Amino acid sequence: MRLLAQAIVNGLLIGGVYALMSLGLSLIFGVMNIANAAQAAFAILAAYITYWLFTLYNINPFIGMVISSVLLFLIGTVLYKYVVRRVSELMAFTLLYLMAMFLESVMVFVWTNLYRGIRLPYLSTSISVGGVFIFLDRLVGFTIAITITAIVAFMLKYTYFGKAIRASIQNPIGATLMGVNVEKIRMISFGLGLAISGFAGSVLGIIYPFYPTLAELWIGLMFAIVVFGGIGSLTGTLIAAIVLGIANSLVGTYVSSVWAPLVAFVVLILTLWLRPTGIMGRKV
Amino acid sequence: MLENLVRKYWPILAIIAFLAIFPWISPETFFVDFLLLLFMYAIIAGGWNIIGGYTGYPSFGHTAFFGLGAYTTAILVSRFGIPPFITAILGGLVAAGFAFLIGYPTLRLKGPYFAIATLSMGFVLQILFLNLGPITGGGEGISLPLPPWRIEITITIVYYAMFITLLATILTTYLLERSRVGLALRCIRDDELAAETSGVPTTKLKLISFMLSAFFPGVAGGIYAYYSTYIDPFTVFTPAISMFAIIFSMFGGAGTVFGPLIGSAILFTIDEAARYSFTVPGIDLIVFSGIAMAVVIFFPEGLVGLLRERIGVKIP
Repeated sequence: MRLLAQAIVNGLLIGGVYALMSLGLSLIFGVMNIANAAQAAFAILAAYITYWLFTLYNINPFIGMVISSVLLFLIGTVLYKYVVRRVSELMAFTLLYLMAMFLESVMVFVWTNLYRGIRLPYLSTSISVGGVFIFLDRLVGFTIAITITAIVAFMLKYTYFGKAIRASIQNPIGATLMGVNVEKIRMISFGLGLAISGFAGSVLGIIYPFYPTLAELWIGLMFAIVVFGGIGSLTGTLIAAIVLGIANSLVGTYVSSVWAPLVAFVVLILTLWLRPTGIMGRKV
Repeated sequence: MLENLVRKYWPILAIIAFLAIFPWISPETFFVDFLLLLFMYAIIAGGWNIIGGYTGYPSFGHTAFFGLGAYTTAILVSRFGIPPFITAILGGLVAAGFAFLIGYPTLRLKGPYFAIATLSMGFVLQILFLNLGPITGGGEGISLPLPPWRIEITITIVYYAMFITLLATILTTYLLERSRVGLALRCIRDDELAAETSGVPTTKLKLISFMLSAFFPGVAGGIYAYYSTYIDPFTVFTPAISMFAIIFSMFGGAGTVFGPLIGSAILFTIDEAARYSFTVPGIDLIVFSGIAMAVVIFFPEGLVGLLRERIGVKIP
């Protein structure tokens, strides 16, 4: 019973990280129907930037993650404006996949494929609540994940920019007629999606060891979460992330953690087969 | 009839004839070995081209089919002693079967869902084969029995096997391009909605195209397993193969008959030459993915498209 409770608590906390990793992907996919195959690679890049800022310049990772997400925002807007916009939606996937391969091989070249980690000794403890251990680093990661999801959700719902994004999702031509600069909205959304990855990657780097080709493991999981949650719904992404987090934790506890990517893949295929709209997405 | 054919296609026929006698005139086994690996990549890229180039649904996990073919041969040869040339064909069929499993739920949808599903296909199979020890040998892989003759003879046999498979891949692509099915596939690529409205059974054709595209890499995987006499999940389910299939094909010209072969010939030669001249591991991946991005942005028709457009050479 305690094992079960522990597994569920772990799953919930990991689900927060899953949500943060998938949030940017979900945003970009929802706004411009571009499946950003390079999202995980950018997240890992952010982890390395934060790692370097921490080890070389001794900058606190919580400040480092803000810096790396600002950098990723800039990279994202430039990338969208000069590269992604030039190709069709379908070719964009191929292009971004190649971009991911490029980034991964550059990262292997610069940092090698050895495991790195942003180690914060004060976070590597746990607190016990009724016999269930809560790891502090994961709790912090979870808190950051929920906070950022809440900020993005608030922004989408109440600010002019958020309303413009939603209008561009629902009807690009209508939005243009209402005076929304759809191209600009798309550019900023792409940057924003990568900026979220900046936080996600850094949180990942604090909790887990990372290496460049880890992106290949994550991207499948992230797409599974976004599709399962439903394209264009951030709430759906959050729910799907937590469900998959708990599912993976249960499989890891009772069977073996090696099957986690398989769980995500089966969820992806079943979703596409039985209910392509996911939990709460729009029509495919 | 025959005379016309010879007059029209003599350069291609000359190359085929040269490659057919190559093992007998080659000064060193090294070159035969090199060419058979080049053929292997050309088969995988050519297979990819059917779904990615002609149908416009790029797959990002073609290593899955190669690996399934390799494992089919490895298991059947080492456990049951079935002759490798039968198992290679069976491997192709297993790969096509897996393509059906992945394609059936995902190809009914338009847009990037198929691409997303294929993205983690190879990775998932790698994990599956790593952890199904009793059947697949797990991380230790499978060793195949050594062929009873000298290594040069094995290489020559494998060379011809790869060569014939490559010819079959190219011939299939050529016939496909000229058939109604090929026309329908290109319609799907250019405007799927219009194709559907005109009565093209899009889902069915996409599925057939995907299975065909999986078959040839599966056969190549089987021949490779026999050739290397040892396989494990890391070498046959590697993202590098999926990536090379896309890059070689797009560089040469996706959606053309000879594009994948030309792309493989050029880039694989550069890759091998670089491996022997300067040894900075991983730099080939940086350069190739960079080149491929430039191809996607600036000349999506690839080298063949460029030659057709600029010089007016008629390459099929």
